[in-house]
Amino acid sequence: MMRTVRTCAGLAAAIALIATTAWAQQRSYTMKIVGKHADEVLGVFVNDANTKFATCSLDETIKLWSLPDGKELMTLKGHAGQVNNLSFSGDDKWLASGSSDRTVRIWNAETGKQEKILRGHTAEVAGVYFSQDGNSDMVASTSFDKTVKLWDVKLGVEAKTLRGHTLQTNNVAYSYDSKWIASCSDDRTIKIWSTDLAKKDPVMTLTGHNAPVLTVLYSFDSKYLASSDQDGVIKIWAMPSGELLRSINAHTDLVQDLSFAEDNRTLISASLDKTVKMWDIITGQNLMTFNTGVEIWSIDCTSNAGIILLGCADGSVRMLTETGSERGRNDKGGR
Amino acid sequence: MKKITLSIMALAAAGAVQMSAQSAIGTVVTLTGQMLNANTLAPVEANYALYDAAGKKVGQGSRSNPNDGYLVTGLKPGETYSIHIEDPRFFIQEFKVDVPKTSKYAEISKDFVVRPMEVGKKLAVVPIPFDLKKTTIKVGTEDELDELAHMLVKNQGVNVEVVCYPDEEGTSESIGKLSAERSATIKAYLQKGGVNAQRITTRTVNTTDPLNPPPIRKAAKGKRYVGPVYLVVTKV
Repeated sequence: MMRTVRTCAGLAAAIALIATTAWAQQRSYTMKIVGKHADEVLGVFVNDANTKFATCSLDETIKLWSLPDGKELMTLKGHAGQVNNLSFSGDDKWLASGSSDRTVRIWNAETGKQEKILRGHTAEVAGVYFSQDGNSDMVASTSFDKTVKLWDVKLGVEAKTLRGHTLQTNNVAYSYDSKWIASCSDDRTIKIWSTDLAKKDPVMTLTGHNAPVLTVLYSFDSKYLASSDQDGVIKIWAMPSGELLRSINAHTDLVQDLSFAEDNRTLISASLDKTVKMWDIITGQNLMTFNTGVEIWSIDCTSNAGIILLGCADGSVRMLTETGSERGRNDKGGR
Repeated sequence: MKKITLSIMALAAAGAVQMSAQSAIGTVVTLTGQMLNANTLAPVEANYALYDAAGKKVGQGSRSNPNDGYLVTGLKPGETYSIHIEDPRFFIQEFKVDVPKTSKYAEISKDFVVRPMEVGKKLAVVPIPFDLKKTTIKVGTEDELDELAHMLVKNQGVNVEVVCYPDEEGTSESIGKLSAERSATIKAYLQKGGVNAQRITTRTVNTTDPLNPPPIRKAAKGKRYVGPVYLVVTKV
């Protein structure tokens, strides 16, 4: 009996190893520059339909680009300071941006028209994230004023202010099941908040980073949260339990941005160390390292990671397209 | 519990919205927020009063919590209010609050940045109303300057000195020229907004702001550095 169990266990392990190895085959990409901002590119976000992406920059503008060809569509002007971050709404109709001018602005993602200016933060806005549910009527924002604010973009209302971080809040993310918001801060913590407007205290505080936490991001199934910090470390957390699953010494310089693929286990990171890396968050295996030769502030990818978009410190917007497969050309689906 | 008690007391005391107990449910929106010191962003205690759109004072006035700057008041959906800072320690300031006409929210949020009324204190002009190395007012920053002009008009006893720091170290002549020209631009803008020229002086500086210097290269985001602009209070 024991022998049978051992045999079965060994077989299962072997199958798992084969499956992992097959899944985790190295992926290769080619890079091209699709366009430029007049200054460093701080944010990039791909829309849900994988037909468009947006970038924002120190040059105080936002640009919209087409996918998969990377053609520049339009430039959105209005912010009176560098645009630090941006996010498409879940229905792709709207774009939110946050700026050093202390405002969050809402733009029509089709026409580029500025629809609303949301004033309320008392310092620079660092991060924005649209709710990813069907309503797409809420935006969360983070700021150097240490708060996280939730905005009803349709009514233009500052619906809630979340207080608890002790230093500037850097970035924020909605979970895709719309139940939670994660925020990260220079105070080296991540806080999880309920989207229930009646609740103001954090549900939990995740500790473990030894440097300012620069970004947080939920997987599409809302089961994982990835975070990165100023030391180049990435951590993977099981959600909603908050259990730390994995810590990866991923880069040799700060990691400002991360992106999940729709399989919920492929994570892509970009760093000022000039590399893009792809990770299997289940095994921690490095699936790809691409040296771009330029410092990278921001990253996002299409659903299957066939195309990776980079916002770079030299003002360039770069596209990595996967070679040897149809992924880059056939990535049409929404997330 | 403390905040809940404070909320109930403030709602009862302010009498911001008069209505019968029967109709009150769902027709009052609670505004919560913090009063923050403009220079430090630390919570402060400050006296304030609520006014309706017609300029009529609503209730008796109140003050933010001395421990955490917290304030709470009841407002009517669909109405516009103005919160006035009425405290000799701070500038007279007015903050507009639009309450959406909806029953969706029982509570909305807003923080208020109040400016200390003290000789020598700096009023930072944010966002900085200049582009890199430029001396003309940057498009999109007029709202803040208009607000400052309005505040100075409301605070007639106050004189200020305009100080514009340069964007980078340079020759004394070049950065001094930039500083002087920017200060003159700000003075002219405030005058246009109704502030008597006698109340505004300018000072030329030849070094970058020692309290807010250009950032180091590796700092994450926030790197486009334009010299800060301040109004320094010279008389109250």
